[in-house]
Amino acid sequence: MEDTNCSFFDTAAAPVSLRLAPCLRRLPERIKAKTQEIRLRANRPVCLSVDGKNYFLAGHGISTLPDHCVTAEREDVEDTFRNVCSSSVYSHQNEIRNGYVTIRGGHRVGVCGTAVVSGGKIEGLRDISSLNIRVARQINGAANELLFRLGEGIFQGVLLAGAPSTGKTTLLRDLARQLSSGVNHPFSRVAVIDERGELGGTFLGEAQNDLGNCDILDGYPKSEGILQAVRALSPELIVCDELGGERDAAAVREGLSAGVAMVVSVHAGSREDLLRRAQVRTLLLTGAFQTAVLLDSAAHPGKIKGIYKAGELLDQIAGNSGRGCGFGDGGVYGIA
Amino acid sequence: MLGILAVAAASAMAGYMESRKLGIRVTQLEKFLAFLSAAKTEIRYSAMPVERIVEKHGSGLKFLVLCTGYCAQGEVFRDAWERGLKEGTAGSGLTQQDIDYIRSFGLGFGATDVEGQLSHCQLYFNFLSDALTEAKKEKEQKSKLYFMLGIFGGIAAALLLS
Repeated sequence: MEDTNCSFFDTAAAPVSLRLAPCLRRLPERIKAKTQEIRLRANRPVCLSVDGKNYFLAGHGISTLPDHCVTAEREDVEDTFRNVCSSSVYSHQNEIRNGYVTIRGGHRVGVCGTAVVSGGKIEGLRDISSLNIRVARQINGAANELLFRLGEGIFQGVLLAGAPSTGKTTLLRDLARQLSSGVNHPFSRVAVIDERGELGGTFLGEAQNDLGNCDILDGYPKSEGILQAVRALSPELIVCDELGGERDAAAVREGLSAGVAMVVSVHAGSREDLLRRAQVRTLLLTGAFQTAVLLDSAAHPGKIKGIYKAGELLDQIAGNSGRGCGFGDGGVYGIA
Repeated sequence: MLGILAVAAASAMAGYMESRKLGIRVTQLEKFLAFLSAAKTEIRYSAMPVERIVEKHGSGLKFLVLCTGYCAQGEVFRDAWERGLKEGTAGSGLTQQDIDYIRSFGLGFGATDVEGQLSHCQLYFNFLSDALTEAKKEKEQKSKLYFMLGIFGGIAAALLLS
């Protein structure tokens, strides 16, 4: 799964401070095309994640050694953060509280700093110390294999699992586009719940990514978005990124009872992870997903590693549980 | 004779311009205070980004219109604000202190969370409200004075020249 141009990298790097931006712009096209993440840490070398491996940003390229690399000053991190927030920190307050901000183009910027805690809850962040820009990519055809292998099975519900950077969002985006525009499949009514703005990258009400003829519920909390879509949009399929938690599962049940199919993603790095995770079991138990698709590693984004029947997974989970392997072992890892 | 009349007219005009400047300052400050009120509402209820607040509510002030233009050209908001202020306040009647307040407001505009921004807007609303009160007072006291000084200065100059 590889994009053919560097525009995704360039839009992702757009908020980077004026001092560092030229170094990123100068990177060779082949590196830009394979860069998955750009990391800025105060007074530390700028890091890039390329093809699943970590490198440092050097003058005209990348290096595996931190010597003579480009260092991000504190001002660079602050300027970049301000640009990420379009100079309007208050309008991203909730996102910052959750640790990320989605920028134009659907790229997600992870924000790290000192937590301001009140009543046991994170109220905000101060002294921003590092930023991680994840380059979101729209790759037309990314969902071809999934559509080919599952066919009509898509409409019996799919749980798309993978570790971070394995291409879950890219795959969901292309799936939504293909199904809603009748490419490789008859046209369907698709609603996209885009709580973080990663799928559509909506800016001023207009999706920056091509999602075909989808209805995009931008910024809706996932559970409320699902219910809203079921009530108001009569979709045949709901696509949603990174589902987890009891409220989400309740919304999925609601959708199922309305006869709406769901394709959702969850974090799980392996089959064992899938079996261990409490939220995967919760979602499978809703009965809304007949199939679980596990994606390969970050080195091969979008590649399908395995396809499993939900019933078999549940049987195995029950077996594991009987042998003392608790469902809680997965912790909250997968709740996005 | 014509020259004498011209000198008298120029002096009267200078007086009128000075008097008018006081009125313009009042209008500009009133418009900026209205902008601050609108900004507070937008921040509290719609979390609208600063660029859009300026675009939506700043059409009555030249420096805000310029700021919107620079933002549209891709300039960072803080730089756009600074540039708009530098180029858009000539002849606005605003004093250097008014401009410093507005500059300082722009530096912190958008830089914090909602509560922080509401406090920020309120702080500068208070500063500029005081400036407005002072401007109104000044206008009341000095507006006629400048105008009359201009006219009488002109007459005096005319008499001396004749």
